[in-house]
Formats: sequence, C-alpha cells, structure tokens
Amino acid sequence: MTAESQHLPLEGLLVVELTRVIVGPAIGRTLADFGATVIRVQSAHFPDFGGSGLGTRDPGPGGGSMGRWNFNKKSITLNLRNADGRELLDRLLRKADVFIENNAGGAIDRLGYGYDHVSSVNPRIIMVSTSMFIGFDPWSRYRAYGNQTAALMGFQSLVGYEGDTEVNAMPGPYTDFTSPPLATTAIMAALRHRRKTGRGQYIRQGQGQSVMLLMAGLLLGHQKNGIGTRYAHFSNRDAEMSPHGCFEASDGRWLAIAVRHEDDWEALCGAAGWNDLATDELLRDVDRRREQQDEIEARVEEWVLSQDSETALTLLHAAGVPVGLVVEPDELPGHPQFVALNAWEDATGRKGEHYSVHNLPYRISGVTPRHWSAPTAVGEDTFEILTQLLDVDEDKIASLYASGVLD
Amino acid sequence: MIRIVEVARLRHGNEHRACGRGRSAAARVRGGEHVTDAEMTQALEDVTVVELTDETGDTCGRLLADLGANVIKVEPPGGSSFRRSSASGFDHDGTSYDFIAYNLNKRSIILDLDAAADLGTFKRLLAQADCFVESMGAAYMDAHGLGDAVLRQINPRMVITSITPFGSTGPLAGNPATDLTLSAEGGAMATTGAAARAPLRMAYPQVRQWAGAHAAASTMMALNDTELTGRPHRVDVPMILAVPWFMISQPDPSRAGKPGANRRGIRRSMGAASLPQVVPCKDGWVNYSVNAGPIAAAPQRKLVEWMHGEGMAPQWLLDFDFAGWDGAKTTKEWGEQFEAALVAFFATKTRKELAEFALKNGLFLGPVRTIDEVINERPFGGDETMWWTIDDHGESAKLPGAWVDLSETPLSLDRGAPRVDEHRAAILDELARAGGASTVGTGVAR
Repeated sequence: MTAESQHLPLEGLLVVELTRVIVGPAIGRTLADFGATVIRVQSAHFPDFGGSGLGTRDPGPGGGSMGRWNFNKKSITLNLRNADGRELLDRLLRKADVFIENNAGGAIDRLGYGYDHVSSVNPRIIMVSTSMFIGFDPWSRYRAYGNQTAALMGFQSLVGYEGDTEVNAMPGPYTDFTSPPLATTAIMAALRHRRKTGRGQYIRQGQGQSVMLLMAGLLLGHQKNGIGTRYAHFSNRDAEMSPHGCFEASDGRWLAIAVRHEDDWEALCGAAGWNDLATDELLRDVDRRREQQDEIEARVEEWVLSQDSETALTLLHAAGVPVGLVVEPDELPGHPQFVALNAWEDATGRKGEHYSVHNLPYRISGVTPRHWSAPTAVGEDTFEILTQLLDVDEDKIASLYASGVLD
Repeated sequence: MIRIVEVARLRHGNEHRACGRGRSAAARVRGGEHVTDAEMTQALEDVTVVELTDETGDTCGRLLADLGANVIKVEPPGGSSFRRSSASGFDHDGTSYDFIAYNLNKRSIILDLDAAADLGTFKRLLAQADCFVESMGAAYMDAHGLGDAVLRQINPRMVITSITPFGSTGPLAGNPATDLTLSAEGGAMATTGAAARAPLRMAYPQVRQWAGAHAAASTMMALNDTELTGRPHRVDVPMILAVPWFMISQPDPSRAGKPGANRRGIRRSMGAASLPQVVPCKDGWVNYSVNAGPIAAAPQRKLVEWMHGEGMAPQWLLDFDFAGWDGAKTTKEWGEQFEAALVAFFATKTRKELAEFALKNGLFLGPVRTIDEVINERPFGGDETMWWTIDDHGESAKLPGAWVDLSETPLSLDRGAPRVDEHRAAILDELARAGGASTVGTGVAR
C-alpha cells in the first residue's frame, strides 16, 4: 500500500454510538471504514440483538449475520444507570464529533441523552437519532423491525405475480438498508456546515419517512393516475419495456431479460433466430409488442428453456441485449464481477482473527477502507478508552468495575 | 483574516421561490478558504454540482439539492431522456412524474456537447463546480473528449462521481443493464418470490435509488476531504454493488447450493420450521416477525392471552414457554400448528385492530399497506408536514418531503423540477460574472 492509499477521509473523526441491531451500527461502520474512530458504548443493561453473537464477549469471527455492521469499532462498557457512568459518557461526548443512536423513538430523551443535554455538553457535536418515525404519535414509539416498516410504507405492495392475490416482497428489513446512506449523506453535509460555521446540529431520521424518497415518483404519479395499484401484482413486467421478464433455462437457472427499445428487440430476434418476428415491422413498436406480450414472452420462455443459462447469457451479451443471471446470495462473493470490484475481501483483524468483509458499495480514489477489526467483544477497549482518551488513572479502574460503573 | 466573497445568488438566480424559509446571500467559498458564515441556512448552499445524468443518476443530485446545493442539470437538446421515461406516468406536458420527483430543487440548461461552443460552455461550468456527477458511461464521456485527464485539467479539485451499472472494471463493465437485470445479477431476485415460480423484482425501480443514496454519501465524503486536504477525488458508484446490501445474512460460499433454495415467498425459517412473515387477516395482510427469545416473549405472551380471551388459543399454545423458547429447536410441526392458529385468529381481526395491539404491546407486527393508503392515511399520508407540494399544471400535487430533519439547516423545497433549459439565462449570466472563461484549461487550483 502506498502512502496515498493509506489516506482515509475521516481520520481524526471521533464517533460515539449508543446503538443496536442494524441502522445505527451501519452508519457507524460506514464512518469507521473510512477512518473514523468509532466507539460503541455498551452495557449489560442494553444488550444488542439477541442470537447474533453480538453483545457477547465472543462474537465469533464474523459476528454472525449482524456482524458486518460492527467491523472496525471499539467498545466500552458504561453503566448509564450510574452517575459516574454517565459522567464518563459525558466526557466521551465532549470529545466526540458525531453521536449516533437508534433507540426507539423517545428512549434517548428518557435516558437523559437527548439533544438538549448532549449539545450542552458539546455544542459542536453532530447528534444523529434514527428511529422508525419522527413525530406521529403513537407511531413515533412504534417498536418494529424494518420488515414491518417496509410493509407499513407500501413497499410490500410492489411485488407480486399477475393474476395473484398473495403478498410478496423483498424479504428482510428493507428500511434498515435504505436508511444508512441517507443518514450518512446528512452527516457529511452537517460536518461540512460545522467546519464553515463552528456549529453542530441534530439530525433526526424517521426511517419510515426517509424511505419514501425511494418511491417519490410513484407517489406523485399515483395521485394522478392510480398506477401504483397494479404494481402489487405485476410479475416482472415493466411500465415501458416489453418483453421484460425472468425466464428459466434448461439448467434451472433464471435469466432476467429487458428489451429497452427497437435496437434491443432486433438484437434479441437475431440472437434467438426469430426471423418471423424480426421481419414483422409492426413489432418494432413497443406498444404493439406489449399488446402481444404474452405470446412474445412465451417465445422468449421457449428459447431460454431450450439451452443452459451460460449459453443464453453468452448469446445475449454478444447481442448487446440487457440480461442478468439470477445470482444466488451465496454465489455473490465468487462472482467475477464482484471479485473485480473487490466487493468482498478477506481481512485479518487486530487479534489475528480472519473474517470476510463486505465493502461499502462505492470506490473513492486514493482511499482503501481500512479493515482492522472483526466485531468487537463487549467492553474490549474499556481500559484503553478510559486511560488514553478520558485520562482516568489506571489504579482507579478496578474500583470503577467494583462499583458497577462499567457494567 | 476572514474574506467573504459576495457573489450572485447562485442558487436562485432571479426567480427565488421561497417555501417557508428566508435565504441570506450565500457566502461563496472557493477551494480551501475557510470562511465563517454564521448566516448559512442550508448545509450545502455554497456547493455547486454539475450533473450530466440520465434516469440512473438523478437521485444523487436531488439529495444534494435538497441540502441546499446549487445543482445545475446539463441536458442535451430536447431534454434529458428521463423526461420521457416513467414508471409513474406523465403530466399534461408529457413529462415523466419520475423525472419530476428526482429533479426537484435543480436548475436546467441545455448544452449540445457535440457542438464546440456548447462544449466550451460546459467546460467553463465544470471549472466552477465543486462536484460533477455523471451517469452517461465512459464511452460517452470519451467520445465527447471528456475523459478523466481532460476533466482534471479543467478542474483539478472537483469531485468526479460516476454512476454506472457495473463500474469500470470486470467482465460486465460496459454492458447494458436495466433495473431488472441489475436486481437479478446483484442477488436481490434470488430471494424474492415463490419457490416454484419466477423470481420477482420490485415493480417500481429501486436499484438506481439505492445507488443514488450511496453516491450522495460518498460524493460528500470526498468533497469534505478535498476541501480539508486538497486531495482531488474520483468516486465510482457501480450500481450492482448496491444490490447485495439488502441481504440480511452474510453469504456463505460453501453453501452455494440449489438455485431457488433461497426463494420461498415471504416466509422465514426458525429451526426446522417454516414460518410466515406475512399473515392474512380479515381485511388484508399483516407483516409479523415471530421471534424466539426474551425480546419478544412478553408481547407474544400477550398475543396468546388475547387469543385465549376469544377462545382461539389452543392449549399447547397457552402452555408454551415463550421466554425459554430456543428458536433453533423449533420443529416443523410446531411451525405448522402455530401458523394455523395465527391464521385462524388473524382472520377475525382487521389490520387496524392488529396494528393497535402491536403498538400498545410492543409486538413486531405491522399492516401491509397499499400505495393509496400511504398517500391518504396516517402515518405519513394525511399529515401535511410530511409532504412537499408542487404545482402540476394548476393543480397541486404532493411528494414525500424532507428525508431527514436537520435542526440548523433544514431541507427544503425551493423550486420544482426545472422545465428544460429553464435557467439558461441565469446560469450563463452567473458564469460570465464569475469570470469563467479565464479558468478553462489553466489548471489553476482554486
């Protein structure tokens, strides 16, 4: 690594987290990857997501399914029910640039660490509260996973088979993944604003509100034309492109194929050897193709099924027709495109632990994200943080443990 | 020493349309000059972004514009192709509602990059920019003589952000792609849909939104770094990389087994049981995360009590120890019985009743709502403060409003989506007054 590639844009930034599960830790991980010192304040009284291995003294090499959100962080245990514990957190916040919390709406205020208190301790701090909703009682106190938030906000009415009534959706907590990059954008802007003005501020994100940006166009159009309703059972059709869908090959793999325009249509006909369709001038018009889309897609289905996926992919790539193999999650790290982009890489952590890192989905020139730690055991860095960052005397620490300040 | 450069109101030109907040004159800061501006009301009000994008690249600029950046959208003659492409329908002028949504707060100028004079103007615009965001692809940029070496010569400091389907390297780089094909290749479709049927994608395109959010975050990270250290940055955002970030589990290459194994509708595993994630009820569906372990023991106990109160809790369920439940040991039969009991009970309850119960008792359950409901009913619908309002040919229309709340520099809607070339005069005027001509090709760091 050259000196240039060791430069990290967020070096010197101190971030404190009072977080659990995904959204808060994911924001912290983003900042940690790019050089920030990120300290998780943990406690036996605030266990992290159960069953994940997190929040234990031995999270395991990757920390399970939740581990990837907690790479490259340090951990201190502080008992926030104890006045001395709170005093230590205040001292940490005094030095911090960013404070992230993703507790249920209102919880941080009840804990006594709302923005009023935190900004009085450190007026320059950027505090970030991310929870399901801001405002809207009782929804602001709603205790839910991103799965429920996605359902509530209409994202589970966008996936389904034509002619069917069953609900489908991308499984998982959708809003947990849409929220962090939006919050990170705001944090970067707030840091810039602070550099210019000397002032910190409070960033609040309602995850159920943030995510609506991702269907802004649909919400706008639907008011005027009701288009959103049909998307609940639309299979893989498209508002504009035809043919457009997912087709099974002889080896049981599926191919997603999208014909954007006349040129793609001509290329597909050529690749598939459909002279009859290629010479039908009327089918150059997408509206005509859409009228006959069942018949046309039956032809695509037949053609794809007549060969294995690799053969079909090769033909379609050569023809310049947009196509995607339906790749299984477990195949992703070994997929040549993801390999070329270094999407996953093997890392060795500070204790010699080996683990697989899923890198953030962008590349900044001259910047190599630093991977120096798998998920940290709870309280791993308590001693170091107390002595080196908070100037606590080494001999005091034993008594702090004894009196429950560091639980 | 503090030097404040008072310049033209780059953000608003001559047609300021305030929506609720006044604006002070922006103190324009060049390069590394640190200028204190206690009057900043928008976090990015002194940032200029030049955008050369199609439908895959507009979201990034929208986010930065909402934060106050002066986002100049450069469109080809006839306007961006995105104006004529939509998954949401078109307004009375035939403008895509998707285009409108993702181009709020931006200004537009037409520049024909195939014409020498316009290309020159474009380069002068770039020379003034803090950020340049493009999604046109390397082939297009090279064909117009706008490769990286040229861009750097024009403006040594600006952040150059490229949003592409596959990035600039690897076997798929340069291939055509759509939201569907990226959803497939990126792993999102493999887990979506029923096991015996075709994999599904979300019907309203999302990959470009995910990539756009990441593009905005990384562009801002890079901009901060350039301003602090002088290091210029190029940011690459391959859209396909954004797709696997939606997987809850880490992939395990040793488990790469039967294709289709990951697709089972909306169901999830608990030990050997298959449990529904979405359960039908009296008037629709609810999304319910059944949980083993202490976190959900109390609310699930209460659910069983509710069922019991209506004579719908089988004895084995009444006797079940939720607190001591080890999810990994759940049997297939237990899952089937539990599902049957849930379905029978939920069939007697509306989404509203179930949601109220969930809210009150901390159960991880929420209603599956339609697009109509999201627009018209609380939460979100029916609450004016959540929405921004625009004029749609004499009628009003609403869009989701601020996507985050910033206490000092709130997001705001200052203008609707631009008409094509709407801001030509203002943009060229600003360019002239900023002395743009003298900086082209000089490579002077500003």
